[in-house]
Amino acid sequence: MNRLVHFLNQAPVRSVVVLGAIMLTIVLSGRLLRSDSISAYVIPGAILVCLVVVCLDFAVSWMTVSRTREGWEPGNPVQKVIKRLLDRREPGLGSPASPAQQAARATTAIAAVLDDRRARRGWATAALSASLLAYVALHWITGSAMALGVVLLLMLGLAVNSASAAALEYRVNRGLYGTTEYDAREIIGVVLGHSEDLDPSGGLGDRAIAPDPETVAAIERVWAGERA
Amino acid sequence: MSAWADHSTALLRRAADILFVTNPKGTSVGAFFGVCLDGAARLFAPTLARYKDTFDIAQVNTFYFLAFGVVLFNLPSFLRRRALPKEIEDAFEIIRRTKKDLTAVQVRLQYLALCADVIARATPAAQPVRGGARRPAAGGGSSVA
Repeated sequence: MNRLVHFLNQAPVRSVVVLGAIMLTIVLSGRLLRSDSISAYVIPGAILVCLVVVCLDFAVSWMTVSRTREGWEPGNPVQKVIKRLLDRREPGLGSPASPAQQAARATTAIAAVLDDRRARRGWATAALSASLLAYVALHWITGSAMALGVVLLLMLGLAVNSASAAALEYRVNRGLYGTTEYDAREIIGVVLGHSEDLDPSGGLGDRAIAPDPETVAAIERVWAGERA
Repeated sequence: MSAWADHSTALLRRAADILFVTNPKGTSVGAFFGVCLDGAARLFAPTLARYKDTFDIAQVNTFYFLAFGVVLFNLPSFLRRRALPKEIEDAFEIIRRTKKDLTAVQVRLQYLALCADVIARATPAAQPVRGGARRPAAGGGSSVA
């Protein structure tokens, strides 16, 4: 199961699956546009594609977030450093919150960002799929001509949404996330936005995180392109 | 992993955020609203036809309905948008200015250190930890968020 998740979680695999499904639908729609029974094929096809995209996105995102939070096996030196620090965390002294409360809101900044993005992406995927279905259904009901441009635009939105999610997961899994200004701004935005209800330090508080020189050298090698 | 993958994934995320106006939820729900509005306009076309002289809604393209929905649902987040605190913007500016004197890895570590520093300061339960070293001042040391 873990192997399957790992395989599906790879950005190229996800992109190929999602884009392949969308391309197949476009090709089928293009062929069917010439026939009279377009609605009989396009509607089930659109429903099938949307279901595949939504199920794949939700399943893989959920598994990724779960693995990031706990029970996750570090793959490269960056993840190993985080895992080691999380494993040796201790309860804070004189904290106003109870240990249970602290544990409930302790998370890592990356997991908080992934959670936030996953929720937004879930909304976006659901809304775009619903738009697609509503558009096709309304034109089927009213019997008016359907604009292929609108269908393609909504499908492009779904594809870009999935590709963006795959890119984020790729960056997180390879230890690249947070190393550019854009990523840093995103992390800081989420941390400041949720600082009241989350402990994004993973329960570490303000403990200094200073990896030893060998670890820094290992991280440098990963960033330079070596395989972990 | 390669530098190409790093740049392309970073670029893809930026492009997707621009396409969705950095608000995927609002933009998508806005598109859905636009489609529903378009459907309602078509369903009630016979009723609305009597106002044809004032405003002929049948002439409005679906794309205009979509655009209207997207703009409408992005307005609240546009009006609510807040900039990062000045100290954080200053820290980004310092990293940008010192970029030419640093290696690529040092620049990456600076961004991670900034994130870790903000996380430590924004944590509500940031209490002294038994046996743990205190975090140095902003920008000091390398940290992993």
